[in-house]
Amino acid sequence: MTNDKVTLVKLQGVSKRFGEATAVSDITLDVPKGAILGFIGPSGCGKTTTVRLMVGNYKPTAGTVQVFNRAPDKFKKADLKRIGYMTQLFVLYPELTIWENLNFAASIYGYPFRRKERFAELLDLVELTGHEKKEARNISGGMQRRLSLAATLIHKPELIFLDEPTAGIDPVLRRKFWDHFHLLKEQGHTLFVTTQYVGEAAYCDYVGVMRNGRLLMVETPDGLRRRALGGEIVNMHTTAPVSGETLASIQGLPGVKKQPKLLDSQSVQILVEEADTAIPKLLHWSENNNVELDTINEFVPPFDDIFVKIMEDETAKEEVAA
Amino acid sequence: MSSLQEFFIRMSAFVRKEMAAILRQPRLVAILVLGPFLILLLFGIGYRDSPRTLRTILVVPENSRIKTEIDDLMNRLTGALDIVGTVSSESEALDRLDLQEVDLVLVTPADPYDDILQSQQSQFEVVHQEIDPLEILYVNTLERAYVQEINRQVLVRGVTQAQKRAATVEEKVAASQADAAAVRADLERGDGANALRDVGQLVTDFQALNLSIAASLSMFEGAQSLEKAQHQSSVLLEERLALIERELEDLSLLDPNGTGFKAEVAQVELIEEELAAIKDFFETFQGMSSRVLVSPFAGKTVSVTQVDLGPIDFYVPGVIALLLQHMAVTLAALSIVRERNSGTIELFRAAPLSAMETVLGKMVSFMVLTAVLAAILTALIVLGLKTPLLGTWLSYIAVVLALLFTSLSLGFAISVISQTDSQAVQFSMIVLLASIFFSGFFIALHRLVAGIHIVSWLLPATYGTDMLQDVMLRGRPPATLLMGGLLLWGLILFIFGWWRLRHLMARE
Repeated sequence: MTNDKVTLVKLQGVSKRFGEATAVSDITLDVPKGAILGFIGPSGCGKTTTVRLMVGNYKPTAGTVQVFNRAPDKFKKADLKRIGYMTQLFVLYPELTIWENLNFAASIYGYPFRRKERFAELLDLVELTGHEKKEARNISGGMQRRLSLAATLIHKPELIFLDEPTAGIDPVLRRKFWDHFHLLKEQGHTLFVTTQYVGEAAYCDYVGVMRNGRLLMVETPDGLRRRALGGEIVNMHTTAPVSGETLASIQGLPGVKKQPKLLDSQSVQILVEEADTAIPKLLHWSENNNVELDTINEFVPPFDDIFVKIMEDETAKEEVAA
Repeated sequence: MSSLQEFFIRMSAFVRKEMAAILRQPRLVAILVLGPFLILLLFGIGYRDSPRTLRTILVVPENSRIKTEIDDLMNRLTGALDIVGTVSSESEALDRLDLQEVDLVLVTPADPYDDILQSQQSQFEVVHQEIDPLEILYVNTLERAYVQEINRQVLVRGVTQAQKRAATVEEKVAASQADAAAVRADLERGDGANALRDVGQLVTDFQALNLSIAASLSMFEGAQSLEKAQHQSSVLLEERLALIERELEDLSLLDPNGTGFKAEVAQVELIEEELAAIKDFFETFQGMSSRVLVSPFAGKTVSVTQVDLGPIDFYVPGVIALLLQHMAVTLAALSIVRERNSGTIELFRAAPLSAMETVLGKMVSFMVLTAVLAAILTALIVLGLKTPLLGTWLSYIAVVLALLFTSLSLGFAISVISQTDSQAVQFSMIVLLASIFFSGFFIALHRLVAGIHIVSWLLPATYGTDMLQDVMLRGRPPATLLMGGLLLWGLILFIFGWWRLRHLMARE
């Protein structure tokens, strides 16, 4: 993560224990201003606890949390008004209408009573215009999440914490949510988003991966992929079957990190340091060695695979340590 | 925008939210308003002011010497006892009691005269199978009232006989008066011989009179004591008789040849005065009601309240206090615990919202809502049930608002110590149950031992019932001490609720 940006949230060696159980352990993390930082990890890995530590719901058992250069227990009302927090579950009032829920959320942030314009703007943003009079209990789960998002944004917070905002909603709507988040980022907001959908890591500027209460890494999406795989992948398809000699020749090329993997008789997967520089070299090598290529391109594995790889590697490390 | 403005905006979040949430449930509003009124209305319609009539079977033994008298008495004793039959076997009557065919078995004594002759009270035994202490008290009271009535009937008979006997006495008094007049005439003429003869006749007639009075002197004692109480100078009948007797003994020693019987005339005049007094007494005695003679005193209860109060009127202030307390406690008890369970409190922790803004906002909204409900309930009760409101409306409103404030504070206190909705509801029900027993609604406070009064005064309904009874039924303003106590207790509970909510809204 770059260190030249202004940091809004800073966690240093933060741990949180509930009795004997450790929810999060030794987390060190910076959230730079104007970025979208995604937190991915399996259910129960400590994502929500981390968010709660940052918004001031929990006190850390060890380490320090600083938000706007201030510990959450020293937050002034002005600090809290700069923060927006969308909880994991729908916690607004089912018996109130969408409009009344927005009114409630606006009021607890001390937002002035002239709100119609702001509400219209938000409802438009979350595509709930025309549903204002519907009671929250009578709308779909997706609409409830959108209402929660609108309520979170009502006071124009600078720093927005979204705890699994896309959980339980369909892929089309998830995509729309991420479009909203990018729009917010463009408007200068900083977003900290947790998710169970590993694929959503691609939409973030930075991605933190959590497992068993530990933060394994924080990287850009590409950096995460590279770190998980140990480089980048180039897939090559030849017109004739690939021999053992050919594989050995490819492995000897500069930038190739380990022995290429034969996917089928005419397809080879090569792990390289950087795909952009490795592909021209491979084309040159094929001309020189009379290997006719059908296709050659960088293979970008889905984040699901990346995540599985990270988890498997981590399990292996734990087994070795044990 | 000033922080004060923001304070009110944040507080208003709860005012609007709570009101909208409740008004969105018309069925709940209807239950809250109409439910208590319908309960009172049903109570009003269903309450029986008349005493319970007990189906009674009489046990009159075969050898009873008072069978006729019992039949006669039972024909006169009507009302709370419905005599469904007479049997001679006690076991048969008890079987019918066991089968719940009758409510009471009344066993009459076989030979009351024998008991009385042996200086023992003759017993009427009343057997029942009630288990409710109030019903047992009713049976006991009924038994005492009926035995008293039987005793009274016996006395009335005795007095009536005495009055009949008094007519004979009166004749004897008249004969003695005539003799005395003859003696006085003889003496005034200076005819000592005739006077001595007439004294002899007077002595004879007086002895007959004396015997006649002595035979039933005890019958006249009640009337005599009344007369003595009325005329402090009056003397008892026995004293009059003794005086006449002494004077006659003296006159019997009269010298028939003597002259100038001035002193003797004075003696005869004294006898005539005493006889006239005895005659007056018997005339009065005969004219008196035998019923009044055996029961000279009667009670009369007069209430200083300006209107006649029915049993429903008495319960209305207690019911209002109890219902308003329960409504307010339940609403408030569920409010904060629901925020905790739904997770909203997590949102509050991350917002610039204080515990005071939260609890005050909820208090204002619930005060407005419950006050409106109380107003509708009051209107229905005063207009629908015609329950009097003798005090001022201002006093009534002050009591209701103080009661609602303290009840809501109690509800908040419950809410901040409850972990779940069920716990909050259970706590509210315990408060309701405690209020039924300890608030004076059902059992007067003076019937509870002093230590238990602590529980009573922890309940807002206790203050509410007492003050509403004063305002509505006695037309008095609420007692300052009670009003102050209620508000102080409400304030303590409010501060406790706020303090606990601060902890709940603080970081974990």
